[in-house]
Amino acid sequence: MVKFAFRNSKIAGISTVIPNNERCLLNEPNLYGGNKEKINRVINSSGFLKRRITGKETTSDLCLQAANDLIKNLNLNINEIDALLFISYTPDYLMPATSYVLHKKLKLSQNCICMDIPQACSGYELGLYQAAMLINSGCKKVLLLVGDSFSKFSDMFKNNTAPVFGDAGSATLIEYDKDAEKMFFNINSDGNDFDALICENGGFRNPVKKNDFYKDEGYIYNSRMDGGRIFDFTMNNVAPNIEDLLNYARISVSDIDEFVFHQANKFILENIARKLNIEPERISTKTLTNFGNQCGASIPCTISNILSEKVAKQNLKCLLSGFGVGLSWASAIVTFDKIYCSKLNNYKEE
Amino acid sequence: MKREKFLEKIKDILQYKGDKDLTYNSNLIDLDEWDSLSIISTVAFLDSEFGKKVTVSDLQNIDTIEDLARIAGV
Repeated sequence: MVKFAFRNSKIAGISTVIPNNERCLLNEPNLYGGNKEKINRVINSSGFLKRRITGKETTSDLCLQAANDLIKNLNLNINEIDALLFISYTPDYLMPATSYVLHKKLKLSQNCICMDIPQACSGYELGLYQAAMLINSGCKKVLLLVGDSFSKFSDMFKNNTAPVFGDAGSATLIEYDKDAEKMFFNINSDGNDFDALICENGGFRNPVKKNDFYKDEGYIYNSRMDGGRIFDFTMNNVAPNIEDLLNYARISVSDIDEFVFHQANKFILENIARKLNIEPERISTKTLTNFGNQCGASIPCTISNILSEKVAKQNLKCLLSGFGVGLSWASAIVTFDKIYCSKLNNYKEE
Repeated sequence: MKREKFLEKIKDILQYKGDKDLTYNSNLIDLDEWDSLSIISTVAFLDSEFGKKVTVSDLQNIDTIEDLARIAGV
């Protein structure tokens, strides 16, 4: 059993940033050999249409802008930030951790823990969980940065997984508040399918060699996804994880104001809704249609995209659920109580 | 579910537009329409309508629409 309840941790604000470069599946000449009928079928079933991709800017640049927006709008004293978490599979460097790069750029104090956690689709829930642990071990303010640029894991001219991923960065502040409503988590992992979604090269198992860039088999960072295994995994595991969490928290589906799910694809989300016996309209897919699958940032970006006004005015109990690479799946029940939440901001080059 | 309706459902999933009529003996592997999208749709269909849990790889290894009907029990 890996279920937890935390007191004292309050989500104080969220800010999100997306790159400016928009691409549309209708204009991808190499997709399915240009077969329009097949492309339309994929769009209808998966829900994907448009996405935003980074150029030279990295995930940390998107997260930095989100963090600065959050600091400004919450009127935060940066010396009070005790911990900086950066959750991503697309760091700036292999060494050091990107949280140190961001620590410098944000001018944070030396009395601060910096930590990178490589996670993607379930990264927001795992980041909130880590932040709640830090708060309960004595930290007062934790800055959680979750983002990814999976478009860079694919050569968009050769790889069919490329068109589903959109890039994004987010910043969330979690702070100590003795009156905060409880947060609940249910976290699962299964390394048996670690190779169901993988970028094999560039680490130390398959180091990059001089002639590796653009070999015949493609771009060095090409990722591979076994869509069938990922689909089976989501069908079998996500709904039971959520049902367990609801039982553990003694909260019923009708007590949840909003369901915010990782924007994997429309077909998967519809099937999870069916298994949970909730109306499919309660799980929004608007973010994936307009911005792609943004990995760990897809949940904060969905909150920004469709709930920013609601979370600013109301007390909302939300069920968040992310699932994917690892394989990892994690759900959380959290309360947003009249918090600052940005709209999805466009990236501005420095 | 009756067998005629089951066949209609499978045709819907495949969005079949070929010349030959699809029958229970039609070989799925020979059809262009039996792609990954059709397969995941069929996994969801068998689960939602018949409560039958199959995986994508189970369906990649079957031959005919009759085999699907056998899984569904129609």
